[in-house]
Amino acid sequence: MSAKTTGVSARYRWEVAGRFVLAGVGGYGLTALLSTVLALALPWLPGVSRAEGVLIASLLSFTFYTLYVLWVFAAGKAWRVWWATVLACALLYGAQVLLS
Amino acid sequence: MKDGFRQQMSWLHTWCGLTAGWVLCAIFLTGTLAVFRQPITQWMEARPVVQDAAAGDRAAVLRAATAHLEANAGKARFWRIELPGENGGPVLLVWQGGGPVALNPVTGAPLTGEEAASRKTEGGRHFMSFHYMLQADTPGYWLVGWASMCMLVALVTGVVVHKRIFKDFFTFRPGKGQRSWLDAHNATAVLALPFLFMIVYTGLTFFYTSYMPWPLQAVYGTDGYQRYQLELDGKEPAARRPRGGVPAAMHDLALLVPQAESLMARPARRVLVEQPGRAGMVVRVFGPADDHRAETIANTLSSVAFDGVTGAVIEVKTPKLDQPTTSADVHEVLKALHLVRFGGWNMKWLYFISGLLGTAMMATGTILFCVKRRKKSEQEFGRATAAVYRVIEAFNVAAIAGIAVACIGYFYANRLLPVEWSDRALWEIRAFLWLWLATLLHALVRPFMRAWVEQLAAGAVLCLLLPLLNYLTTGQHLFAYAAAGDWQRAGVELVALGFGVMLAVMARRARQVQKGKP
Repeated sequence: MSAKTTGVSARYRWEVAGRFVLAGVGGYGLTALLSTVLALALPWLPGVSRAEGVLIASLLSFTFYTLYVLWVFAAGKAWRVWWATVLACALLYGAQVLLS
Repeated sequence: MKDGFRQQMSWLHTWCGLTAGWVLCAIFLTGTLAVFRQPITQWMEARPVVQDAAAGDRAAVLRAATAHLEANAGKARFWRIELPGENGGPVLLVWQGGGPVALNPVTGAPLTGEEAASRKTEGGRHFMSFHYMLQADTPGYWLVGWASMCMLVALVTGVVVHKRIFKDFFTFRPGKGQRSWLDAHNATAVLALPFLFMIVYTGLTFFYTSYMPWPLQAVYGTDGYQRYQLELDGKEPAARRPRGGVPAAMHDLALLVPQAESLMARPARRVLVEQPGRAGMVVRVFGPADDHRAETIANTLSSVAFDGVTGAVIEVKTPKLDQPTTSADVHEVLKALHLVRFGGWNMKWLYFISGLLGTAMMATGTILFCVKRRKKSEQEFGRATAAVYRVIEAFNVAAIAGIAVACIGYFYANRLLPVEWSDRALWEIRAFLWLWLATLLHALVRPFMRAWVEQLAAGAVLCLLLPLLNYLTTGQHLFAYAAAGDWQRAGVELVALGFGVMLAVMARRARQVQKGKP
């Protein structure tokens, strides 16, 4: 990321490592919750069966994951990504408990 | 972080591509070879070239097979008879806990000694299982999943950072160092882009219930997979035929097989007998696994099921457009797309070439990373930068040239390991893995440009000498295969020769660079 300066700060390294963990682990957790909620919610739509909800949500999960990883590395402030992820996970978990 | 969306995406593309690129090169090359796993398996089993099956009396062969199974496997739960495919070979008998026994496809007599000789080997299946598990069970399986996600990210970021996709189709400026590597990376990526997106997405969704099981578990519970499949299919489970039952004689296979062939309008390739010798017996006759004339892409396997005692037809399945489809077919189509279960040999060749383009795209990408930094270090790793670059160079050599050496070395292990070893199939795979590790160590100790030259040259020599090795160890050769019309096995050697020439050209080029020419 910092090509011009010689050597990068320790803080920067921790930030990149943090984003890496967030993208991998946090991204998987968030994707799992999002597609689960989607699978539970989709059968409310007319014409979508319970099984089709699971199929659609599972097949889309890989797209969600990809988009999330892009966002983690594109966002300006790292702490904002962390907070947004924690908040989204909490909300989705609540939705999952309500729906199932 | 650098400012600007495009710069950030470019950074992500570089590092995501580099770290996953090494293992992706191996996954891609082995996956590309796995397109031709059946011909590779046949080459590695090295059965003697047998006469054409069409000349024999098949009714007599089927009766001989039935007699052999009744005599040797009367208590087995199932029997399987493999009939010779396009390129001849023996009739194979397999049963629960026994076989395979090879029969002469002309006379039906069991083949013995030299005639039956077939090397125990995983053959082309090794490339397939390495492709999705790296021969490392569950950790390997998840590592492949991680690499695939990285590839998806690298593809999307690659498109984002790109300014002129269309122009790159026609842009290649050779002999210009870094610029040429970038051109090659772009050209291969753009050319194969639809294929690359398709293959990585279908690869991930192939195992969606394992990689992302949570939606399924939330809706159906932890053991709900079967209920889920049934609901998707919209069908009630087929009633199970009662087990066991009174002993009964089997209907004549020599009558059932031709009847199945006329019902399917396809040649029979496999006969499966469930509960042989019992009243509840079912005979299933299957058509070719690669159906070139299928009108649909999913569920292309034709089959006819008979009541094994009376010979009454229970069920006929053929791949036709007018068959009703269900949501369960979605996954079947994704699988068929990934496994090239459609379009016959032409489509397989198209996948093979696209797979090689994909491998070249990753290889040029990881090389580009180093070529850029050879000129001017970017100091990403502080004082350790030079050492880290050195290790990255070595990983590049092992991931690109090394995996090629390991793949061709696997064929050598097959011919050189003693035929009588009981676990020789395992040692062939070990040879592959050890050889790959050896190429990494070699690349770490040698100056890296020399390592490039030496490993590419080694790969070239091994590929070019493969037909000779085959002749010396088994007495079989390219011309004999070609003369017998066995183009699958001849094709394996021809492709090896093609790879040999390609690797030799690359070795020569690397040597010029090593000597300081641009």
